[in-house]
Amino acid sequence: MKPKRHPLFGLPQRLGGLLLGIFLLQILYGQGFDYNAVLTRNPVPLGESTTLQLRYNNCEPDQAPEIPKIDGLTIDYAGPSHSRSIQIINRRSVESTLTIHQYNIVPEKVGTYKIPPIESRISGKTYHGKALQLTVSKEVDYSQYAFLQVHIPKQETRQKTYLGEVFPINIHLYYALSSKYLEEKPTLSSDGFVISETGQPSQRRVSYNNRVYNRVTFTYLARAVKIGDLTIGPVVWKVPLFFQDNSRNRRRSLFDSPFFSDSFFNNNTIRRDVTLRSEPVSINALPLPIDEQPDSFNGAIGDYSHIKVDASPTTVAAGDPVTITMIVQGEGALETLSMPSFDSWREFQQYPETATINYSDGIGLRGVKTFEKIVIPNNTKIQSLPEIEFSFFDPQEEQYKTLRQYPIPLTVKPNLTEASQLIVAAEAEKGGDISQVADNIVHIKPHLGDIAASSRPWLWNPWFLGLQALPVIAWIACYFYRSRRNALHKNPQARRRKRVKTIVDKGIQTLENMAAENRSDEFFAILFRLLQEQIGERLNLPANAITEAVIETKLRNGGLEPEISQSLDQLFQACNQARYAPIDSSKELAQIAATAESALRELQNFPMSHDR
Amino acid sequence: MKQYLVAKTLYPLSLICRGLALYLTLVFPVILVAADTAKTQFNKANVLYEKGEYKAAAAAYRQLLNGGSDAAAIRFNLGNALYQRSQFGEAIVQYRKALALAPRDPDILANLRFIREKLGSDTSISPHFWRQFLLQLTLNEWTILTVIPFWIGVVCGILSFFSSKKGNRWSAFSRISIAGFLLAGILLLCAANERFGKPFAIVIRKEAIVRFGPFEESQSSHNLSDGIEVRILDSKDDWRQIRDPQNQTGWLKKDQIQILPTPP
Repeated sequence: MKPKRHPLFGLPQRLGGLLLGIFLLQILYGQGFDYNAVLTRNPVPLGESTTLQLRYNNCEPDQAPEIPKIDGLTIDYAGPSHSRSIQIINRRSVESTLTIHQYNIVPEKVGTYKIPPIESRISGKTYHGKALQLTVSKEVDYSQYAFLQVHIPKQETRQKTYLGEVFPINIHLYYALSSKYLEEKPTLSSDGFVISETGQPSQRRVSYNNRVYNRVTFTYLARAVKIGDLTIGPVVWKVPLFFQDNSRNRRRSLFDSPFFSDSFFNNNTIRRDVTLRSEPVSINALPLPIDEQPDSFNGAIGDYSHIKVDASPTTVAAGDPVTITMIVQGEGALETLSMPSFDSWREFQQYPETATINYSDGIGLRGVKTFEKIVIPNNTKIQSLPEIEFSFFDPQEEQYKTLRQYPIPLTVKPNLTEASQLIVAAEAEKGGDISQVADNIVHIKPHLGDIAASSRPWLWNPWFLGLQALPVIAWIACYFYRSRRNALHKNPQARRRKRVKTIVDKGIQTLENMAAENRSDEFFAILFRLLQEQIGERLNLPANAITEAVIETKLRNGGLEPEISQSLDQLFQACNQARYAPIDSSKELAQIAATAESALRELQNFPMSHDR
Repeated sequence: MKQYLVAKTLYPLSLICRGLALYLTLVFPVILVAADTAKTQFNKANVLYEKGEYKAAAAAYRQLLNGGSDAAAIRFNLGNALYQRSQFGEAIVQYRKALALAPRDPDILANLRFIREKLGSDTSISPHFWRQFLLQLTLNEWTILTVIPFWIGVVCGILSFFSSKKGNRWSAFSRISIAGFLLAGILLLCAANERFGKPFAIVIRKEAIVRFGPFEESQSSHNLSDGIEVRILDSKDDWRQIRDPQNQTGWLKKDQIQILPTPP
């Protein structure tokens, strides 16, 4: 008989086996997913940042979750990261994925902040992580590990600069670690300066306040572009620091034991990104003095010790090039330095200069600039290259200085090629044989000359052809005018007709005026004359020869309408009667004038034998 | 009302003034700036030539020409740069174009003669005396010579209409001027015909194969070297029938020659 076992006998083993079975089943047949939120650094000192990580195991949110705004915290989304791992269990591969969405959090003040549960949508369903609490402690002083110094050498002697003057700015970083850990360059802000970098930083080991640092120096060149009180800085530089984490559970202060040994750099370290700032520096920018400014000054500012000018060759033929080499040595804005003006070199054809710079200080402030300019002497009377003056403003001594290169003797001989070219040209003009005298082509032309606005000849331009029509039109108009005048000149009857028409037109007007003024005698005298002139013209008879009898014999027999001849009779009779019995009524005179006008107009239209 | 009439009368005048002001403010400075730019580019091209960089210099001169600036000096210098690169045909083309702008320029004439001499005898079409005479002036100069007597003749003719004397001197002047116009007009037409009526071409390839017919399959007749000047007789598709200085005829592909002058 077996002894009776207790009912709970073996329960722990059975429970353990059950849990193990469930665990193995989960690994083997199903990958569960989970989502949680963690802060990589908590607590965090003021001025430093921490990262909120939303971790998704074997799942991925539909979109990056939104973090609600929390007063006192600046939260920026830093992007997702993905990782995948494969495990071999019982000869079967099990794959798992991890997606992390990261958010940088920078606290703005000391205190405790509650981050609410972050909502995530995974495959259409909403999940919530756990709420977090972030503790922000007081700002930590890292100055014993890293600090900045801004050094402007020129400030040692003076607190001002001149417009366009170039001066260096050294930014020193005293850094407890090796510079190889530096990932970013300093950021230098300025107002009214153009700042340029000068290349790679320098590094040296220095002792400061009984501590040994690596001093990393960045040098910049600054140039004031406006006058007034200007500022350089602040300089902002984000540098990493590494500390040893001695506490396993990280409950101790993280900043108790910094370490500086690179060999110590292992998994047991933590990194802190510290942002260093320097104070801005004020500098007064002044304009260049305009008094005593030399005529040859062309904007050079700096301290140039000497210039050297060479010419090669110094014995040339007229028209051959001479290369002038000018070397300027010193300190200043060599990049913008230009050659002195050559405006007075009128006897030389000039070409634009070229320049090269060799810096001797590694920062682009001190060095030698070499100019090369090609000039061509135009004639053989030239005996030297003119004097060259180079003026600059020395900001240290605050005065203009002028360096001179005295005239370089130059021998210009007649150009044999030019002479032969002249012969060639002369021969060509004469149409002679040039093959015997020319050994090369005539050199290029130095002057552009007239530029043809259009290669199209005027003959094909409509505006030009249209312009030629103007005199033709004027000539035709004048021709017709003259023909008409000649026709009148050759035809006395036509001429008389025109003259009589003018007389009648004026006379009728005069009659109306006389009638209005009741001047009977003059009225009838003019009327009689008008009748004689018009009838005489129509009958081709002298005006004096016209009487009443003529109407009867010539006009009426010539086919004049009886009404008109009767009117004419009446008008003649009225003229005769007026000699003995003048009419004193304006009305009657006006009536007679109207009758006369009507009769004369009819008569003008009456065709006589010479009209037909 | 009066003000309205005055304004209406002055309106066209104001339009003219505005147009003139617009021209002076917009167009005239543009022309000046363009001329200045051309001079700068010309000088740069000359510097390249002086340095012996003939290819770059030629490109710079061509850029100037493509930019709308045409001058005898540019063509001449381009011809020199091409000559230095042994592109004799292209150089002759540029000298000929320069001559069209400045036909009496001794430098251009000298270089053209020099390069022809260098290529050897019988490479160019030497014009007769009559044709040389016509080519002594540009077409625009011939046009001026024609237009001046024309205008004088017409003005004298108009004055003669108003002269009271019979057989007056204005009429005589007019007749003489019109006769001068007719003569100059004939010469102008001949000069135009000489330039545009009788196209010729210059071989611009090192070796151009002349064929009996206008086909790739046609049998080759003879070869022409770079710089040979030929007359154009006929054309068919991409082929041109030519007559060379030795009076031999044949067909050349049009990309082997540069036809001159370019028709207006």
